Amino acid sequence: MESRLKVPYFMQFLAISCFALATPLRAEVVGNKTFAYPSESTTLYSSATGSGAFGVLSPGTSLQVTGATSNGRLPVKIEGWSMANEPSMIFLAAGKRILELRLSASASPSQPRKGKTVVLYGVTWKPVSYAGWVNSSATVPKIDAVWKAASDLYQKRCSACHGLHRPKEFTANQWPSVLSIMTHNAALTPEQAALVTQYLQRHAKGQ
Amino acid sequence: MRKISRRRFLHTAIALGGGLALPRLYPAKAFAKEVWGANSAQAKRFLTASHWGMYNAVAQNGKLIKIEPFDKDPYPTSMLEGFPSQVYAATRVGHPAVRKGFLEKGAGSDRSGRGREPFVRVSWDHALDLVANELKRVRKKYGNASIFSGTFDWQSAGMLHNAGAITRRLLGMYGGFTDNVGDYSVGCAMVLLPYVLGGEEVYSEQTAWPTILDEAKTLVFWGCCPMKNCQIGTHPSDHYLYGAIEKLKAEKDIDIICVDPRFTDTAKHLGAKWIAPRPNTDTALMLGIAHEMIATNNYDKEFISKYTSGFDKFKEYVLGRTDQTPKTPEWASKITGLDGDTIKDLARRLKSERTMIMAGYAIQRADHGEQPYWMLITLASMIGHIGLPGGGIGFSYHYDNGGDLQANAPDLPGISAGPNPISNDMPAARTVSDMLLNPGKKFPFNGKTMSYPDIKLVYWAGGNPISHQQDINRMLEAWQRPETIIIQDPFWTASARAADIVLPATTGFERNDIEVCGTYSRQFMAAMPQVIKPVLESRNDYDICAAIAKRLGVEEKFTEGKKDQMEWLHSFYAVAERNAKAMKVTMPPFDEFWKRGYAEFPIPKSSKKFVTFSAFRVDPATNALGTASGRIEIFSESIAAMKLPDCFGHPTWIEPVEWLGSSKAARFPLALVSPHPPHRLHSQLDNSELRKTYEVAGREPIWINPTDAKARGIRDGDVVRIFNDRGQVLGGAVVTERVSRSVVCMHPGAWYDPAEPGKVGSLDKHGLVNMVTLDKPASELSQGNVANTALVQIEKYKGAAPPVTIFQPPQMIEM
Repeated sequence: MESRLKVPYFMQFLAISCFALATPLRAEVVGNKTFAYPSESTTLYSSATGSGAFGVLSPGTSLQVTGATSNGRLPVKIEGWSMANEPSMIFLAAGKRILELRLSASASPSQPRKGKTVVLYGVTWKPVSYAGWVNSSATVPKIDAVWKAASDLYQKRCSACHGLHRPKEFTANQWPSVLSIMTHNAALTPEQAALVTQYLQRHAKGQ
Repeated sequence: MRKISRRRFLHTAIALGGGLALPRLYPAKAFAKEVWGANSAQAKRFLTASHWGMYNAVAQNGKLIKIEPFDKDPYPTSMLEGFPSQVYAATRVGHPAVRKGFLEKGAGSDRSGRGREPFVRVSWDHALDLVANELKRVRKKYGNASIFSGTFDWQSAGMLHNAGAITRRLLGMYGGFTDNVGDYSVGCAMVLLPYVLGGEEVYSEQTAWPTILDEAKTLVFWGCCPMKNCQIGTHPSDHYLYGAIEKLKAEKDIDIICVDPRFTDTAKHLGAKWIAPRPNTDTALMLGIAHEMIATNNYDKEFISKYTSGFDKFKEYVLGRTDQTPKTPEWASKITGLDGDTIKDLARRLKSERTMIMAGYAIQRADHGEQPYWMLITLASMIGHIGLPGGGIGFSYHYDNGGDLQANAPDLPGISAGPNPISNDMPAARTVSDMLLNPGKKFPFNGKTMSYPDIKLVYWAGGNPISHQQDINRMLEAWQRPETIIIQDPFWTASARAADIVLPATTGFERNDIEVCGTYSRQFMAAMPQVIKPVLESRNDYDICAAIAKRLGVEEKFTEGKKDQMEWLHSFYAVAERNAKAMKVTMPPFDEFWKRGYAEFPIPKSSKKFVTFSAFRVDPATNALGTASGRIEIFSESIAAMKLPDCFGHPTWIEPVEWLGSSKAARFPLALVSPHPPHRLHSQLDNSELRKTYEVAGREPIWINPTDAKARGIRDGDVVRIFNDRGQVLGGAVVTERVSRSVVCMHPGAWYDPAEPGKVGSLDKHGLVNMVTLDKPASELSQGNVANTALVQIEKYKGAAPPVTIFQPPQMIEM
């Protein structure tokens, strides 16, 4: 499962006290952190204004809200893992390629995060984090609604030609390939396919 | 009924010495002129489509009289000619019917009467009430999991009248049912390939043919005959393959090799070099090639290290360090029956220049069928051309015109089955026999332990399990277990004859629907307008299920409030229009599309350059495969961790349960292969006039080598009996050098015609090959079927051959 960064207590306190009142409607509080989730592929901007972007966030990615909304944008932080040989993609877990954030070529490198690196099949995975801004309107406060919509779409479109393949039938790594060859038959738009892929990956079998 | 053109079929029969029909590559004009003659001015033409492609259905006085090719299909299949005689066949189910014993005693009837007792004609209301009441009774008494519907539905093309989706929709809305997962085509591949390549691959677009024509120097058809199979498609075939084959034939500098126990139609047409290993020994052959490549230091080490995982462990096995058996060409020679030099030559040839390997499904429809696929991928990795134009490996060139050019077309959805609350999905090939016979039995499947439900009711639409299942006698025994069997079909198939309640469905000519033509190209969207009124009392699959839904209280949900077929078609088309808009693709308004009969979409130039795995080859980190390692897994930790007795961590030669090298061959010395038929779609069209063009002595043809025939006193055209401990079936002998020694080839799908209907073990008078095939799981990993693993004996049939009677309807009585 996703390992979240342990933030020093005083910083948590600071964060909470700073935007407790400003906590946007589009966020949920888990423990002492506040989260929001993109309901579709969403740009991660480099600031509260302007079109400068770091990359694209996948639907359903946990965004830790780190401050108050400004100009309709939320300051957020993403925690994940990236491969030493391919730092432009941040995944949910080491060896599990559930893409959270794809950085653009010009984006600054991700920040190292506390934790040990992991070597899997000769590839070094590092815990990293990344901060930026998202349009508040592109996020929802509860992840369940995102997955419900994805599940409904999946069950509707992917049961026309064959018995439905259950999410647990394939691993998180396998699902993108398995689904991608079927997106035409299912008449899924690229955006819908991205959403369904994330849903399936996050509800997949372990190994 | 219209007579089939004798002249044309005679031509075919002569060319083949009375053997199997070839897929013909007639240009559209020649087809129309030769087959249909001149004047049909009074007739009305409807452009329509089905699995066989797009074509014009011609109706006169309300009757379907003939089929004419679509002028944009340059290679129409001659199978189209069978439709009129199929639609009006004597074996059409005219009216709802109930087995006598079932009508009298319901679920308490003597179930051995299935397939033997006469049927009673009933009204639609009576039949629908019976079906609804049986569903209610079984659900209440045993629960939803005891209802089984495993329909694959090749019966109908079309996005609405998709019998499989519609019955699933109905049963899912009624609380769920036991479904299956996977299919009979790719049982092993579908489970294995996600571990090895990260995805399924068998149903995905292939490296485009133009890159092969431009770049390949060696092309291997490994158990693969695209010319035979691309006549049909999941969605209507666009027959792209045939143009590519003609170009390939004109290319003089591409070496074409056919590895197959048959000299296939494709190999014959292209004049390919023929290498014929014993059936089921392909893995051993490839291991011999791999050993030779390693011994001569002639394999792509860079590709192996950069793009694959676990080669070292495999190499230890090949060299015999793990089992004291080096897999040398000489070792492989003893198993495959090929000489060592042929194997060494093949190793050199495959590695020397750009090589493309096209694999069919046949080699994985066998005992341990995972191994040849895994080994082919390993071999292709050692060759190192995966991801390069015209090179590598493909698993769908024989299916849906793989290698076709993808159009810039919007996608079109169809009616959905929707959720099924019962999630205990059974591996497809185990359902109709093993599951019915063994309720509660535990079995392994893809790393899990599963258990069979206790099935009390079977509802099957648009399919014929008493045809595609292996070891039919075992199945007939299993078929007596459920209390109730409901079949919905246009025809009196073997499955319908062995049902309790039979619901007559329309054919595609009798209803409105819509399709995409070209599964991979999606070049056309096709209207499928109603051409004739429903024959006799038949009803559309959708309407039948909607009527049952009403009786079960789920009508509103089932119909979504839509009042008719056209409203559904409009809704599918509207989604496509939205997709088109987002893609900036022009699409005609629905009415214009429907009137014209089709919409066509442009093929961008980039489609000609499409190469599978090219992104992975360019950047294997960013574009990692979906495997655990992100690379091609020659060794899979995931599979090894399952500790299975019959599928290990890397490709391995595992002796099949029966093959030419086993002791069983003393009693049954011929290996039987049963690939997809060239002249029908599974069992579809066998009840049409087409049958007369390919049958031999009124039976399904069976290919036998002249040496084997002579040893048994069998001559071309003789009626023969094919048998083993599992069953017996008659066939018509085709004595031909095109099948290797000790191998016989008989295509599945000939209609089952028991000498003693309803009796398990009866002689099949007509030629269903599955009477003698084996029903066994390929492995504990996949539970796939092993259709191509079977040993048989053949003898000339003594005495007068019994008449074939299956093309008459079953006995109907009044009650």
